[in-house]
Amino acid sequence: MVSEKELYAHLKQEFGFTRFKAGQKQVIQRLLAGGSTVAILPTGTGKSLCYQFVGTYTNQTVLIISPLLSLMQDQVEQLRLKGEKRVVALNSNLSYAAKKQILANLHQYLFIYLAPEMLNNPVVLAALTDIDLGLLVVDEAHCISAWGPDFRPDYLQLGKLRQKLGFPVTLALTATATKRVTSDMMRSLKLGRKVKVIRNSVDRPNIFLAVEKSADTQEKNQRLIQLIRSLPAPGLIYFSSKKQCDQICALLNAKSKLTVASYHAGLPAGDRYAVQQQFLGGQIDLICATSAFGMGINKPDIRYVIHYHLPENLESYLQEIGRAGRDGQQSLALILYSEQDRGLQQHLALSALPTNAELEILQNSPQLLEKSSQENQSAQLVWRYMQMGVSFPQMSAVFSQRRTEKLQALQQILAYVNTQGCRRKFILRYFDETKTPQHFRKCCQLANESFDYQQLFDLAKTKNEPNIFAGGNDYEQILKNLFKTD
Amino acid sequence: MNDNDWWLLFFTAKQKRRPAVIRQLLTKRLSSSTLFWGLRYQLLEIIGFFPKLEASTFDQGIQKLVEQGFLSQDPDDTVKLTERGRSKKQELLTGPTLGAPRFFCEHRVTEINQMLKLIVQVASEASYGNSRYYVAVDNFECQQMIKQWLHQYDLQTLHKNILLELKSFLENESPQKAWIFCAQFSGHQVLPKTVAQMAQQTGLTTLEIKIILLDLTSRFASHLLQKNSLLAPMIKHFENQNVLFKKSRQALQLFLNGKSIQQIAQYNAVKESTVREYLLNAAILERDFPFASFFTDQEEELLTARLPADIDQWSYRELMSEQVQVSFFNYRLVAIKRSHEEFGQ
Repeated sequence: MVSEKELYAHLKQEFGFTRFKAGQKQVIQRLLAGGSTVAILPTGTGKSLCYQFVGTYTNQTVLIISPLLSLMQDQVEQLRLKGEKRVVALNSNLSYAAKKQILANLHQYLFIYLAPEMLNNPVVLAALTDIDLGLLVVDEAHCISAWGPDFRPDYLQLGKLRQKLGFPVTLALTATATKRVTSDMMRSLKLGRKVKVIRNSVDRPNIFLAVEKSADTQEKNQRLIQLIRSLPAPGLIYFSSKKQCDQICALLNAKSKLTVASYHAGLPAGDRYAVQQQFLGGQIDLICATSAFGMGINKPDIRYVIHYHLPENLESYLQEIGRAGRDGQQSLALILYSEQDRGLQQHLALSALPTNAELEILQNSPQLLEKSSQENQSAQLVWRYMQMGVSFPQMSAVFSQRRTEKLQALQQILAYVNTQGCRRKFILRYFDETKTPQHFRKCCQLANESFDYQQLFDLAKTKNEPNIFAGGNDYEQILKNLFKTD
Repeated sequence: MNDNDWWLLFFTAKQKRRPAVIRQLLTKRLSSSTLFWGLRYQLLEIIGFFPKLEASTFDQGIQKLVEQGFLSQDPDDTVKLTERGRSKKQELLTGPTLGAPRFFCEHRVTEINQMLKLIVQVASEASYGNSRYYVAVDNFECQQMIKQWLHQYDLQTLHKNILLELKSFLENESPQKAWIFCAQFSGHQVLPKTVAQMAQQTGLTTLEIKIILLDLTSRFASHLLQKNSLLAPMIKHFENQNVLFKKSRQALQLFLNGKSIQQIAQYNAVKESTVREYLLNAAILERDFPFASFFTDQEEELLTARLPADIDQWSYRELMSEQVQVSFFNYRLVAIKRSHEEFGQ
């Protein structure tokens, strides 16, 4: 048993903090005692520190399964920034030679980040079984339930992986999980009954919750322009479509004095890095983004998160609005809803899943299936399932079940949009929380209530002056800034 | 102007061209046939411009240009510039272009760009004595290259050399191009600009910015190699190991050393038809290909007398139907030889 004194000394020495955030100490103590844990800690509470602490304390390798390349890269760089060089990401960005080199030296790394798809590679698995693994982490573990069946079936294999690795101590980390999702995670990971679930409330009292309805896109755009002109920056607007993300970004740049940039998976890596760093550095006031932006972004002073399109479900909505107000200051989460959004979200929710007719065609033509899997997301999913030994009737049942679940999730988010009651209570009940706070003045906007958001920010000291695009066109000045010369 | 427009540069109003061939050249997915048509289109220098270009992006772009009336499409899927397309192409030709196109075929320019960004960031942070920073380039290969280089040299040498080379290269560029090139770099308390921001600040289009970045990256890298700079090994590492070109060159060399096609096939443990393909590629790519070893002037005359003047219109199938006794290999070699003569190569 590690003493409190030792824990705090290590926290100070390795991370420079004098106290733990809510939930961190409990999780760390449990892991150090050798107990697998499901930690459901709200966004912004330092979930990564839990496993980083254990890795640096025990000096045993930590294997982290991470869902996104950008998130992986960010976490690798964050660790390096802290001075930890024994860190690597094994993912599809690596060339064959680089992968080979890393695998040959895997024992040298303390933190290994891995995309779930890499685990199907027998060479990777063999290399992993050869190292002294102290902890297996499944980061953003809600993806097992949310993404697994839809487009990342490898997530469903993580339990088998645990088995092959000899059931190492495991930490499943997420910010949002209902009881059903938690059970999914535990079952998929084969965590057994001894696992402990450490759950903090998902509530973020400093985020005001609101929904506004518009008759059509034009009205929505007008309202959006008004809003960003009056709300204090920095802010974040989420879209379901890359194209609209770029279009609205251009519109807002033209119609406001703010510096607005777009961020989505269609941008080159260099541009994504630039936007992210400029936003963190305060050079960009507002980001128009798809869901590709956010995981791992830790900017404390985001004052508002607006959803231009309907979010996919309440889990992802909570993840995304959780990027606001990490500094504890008053912030706003607003959905701009118009009737046609429902159809768009329904289309997005269902289009990635193959229909029974498509399944039949693909089943009858293996050649077509192989060819389509290179180009088409749903054929790729079928191909992957087939490689995993799942039969076509089984697939049909899985997809049918997922369609039902997705439509239910959409109904839930629509119920949130249309609720007559307190929005905070609605969310907390959805996440099976029994203690729900009383509605308060800066809690949420009730149905059909018009609310002046300025009231929210009157007392908060926030920045609302637009950024002036810095820098002239002098390349010599850039070189002078880049390189210090004696 | 949008990114699609640039594809117009690869089409003409006279010659019907297959977009798929151009896509394969741009992405360096090369077959003997692609290389032959690359020669006919005089587009061999665009090999490898965009190795990561997705087929659907290009194909949709071409379709859009057809819909917009810049290109006309024939039922056989070949396309030509329309009058509107021609004037758009003229407009594009006045904008930025790539000064060292061959460099793209011989090097992985995307990776070289990442390498340069990493060199600048590492040197910048080092010049301020900073060893802990968020690394901008997520490329293991580049990170390993710089580590290897630093085993031999030190951070001060890196800083001194990159600054020196950037200054000497950029002083010969227009201030605007030099600024665009530098604005992509990150370093100590310096954040990079996005392509859209550079476009906003300069008044150029995003496409023009992208071309300028590719152009200066390739020429700066070329400058480092030519000067044999201390930094050159980090660029040289990204030289293309093009298997196709290498095998073609090897096959030609064996042939010049007196080996027959059959012997070359045995030596390489491949089919004779594969050796013929290698030799056809060599005929396209190498300057001193020994055409005379395969057919006489008289045979060439006899063959061409049966074919139209425009090589694009030649058809081996039609020739066969006229009972002309010639192998496809020799037929194609004659077409290559005549194309070189036509284009003065």
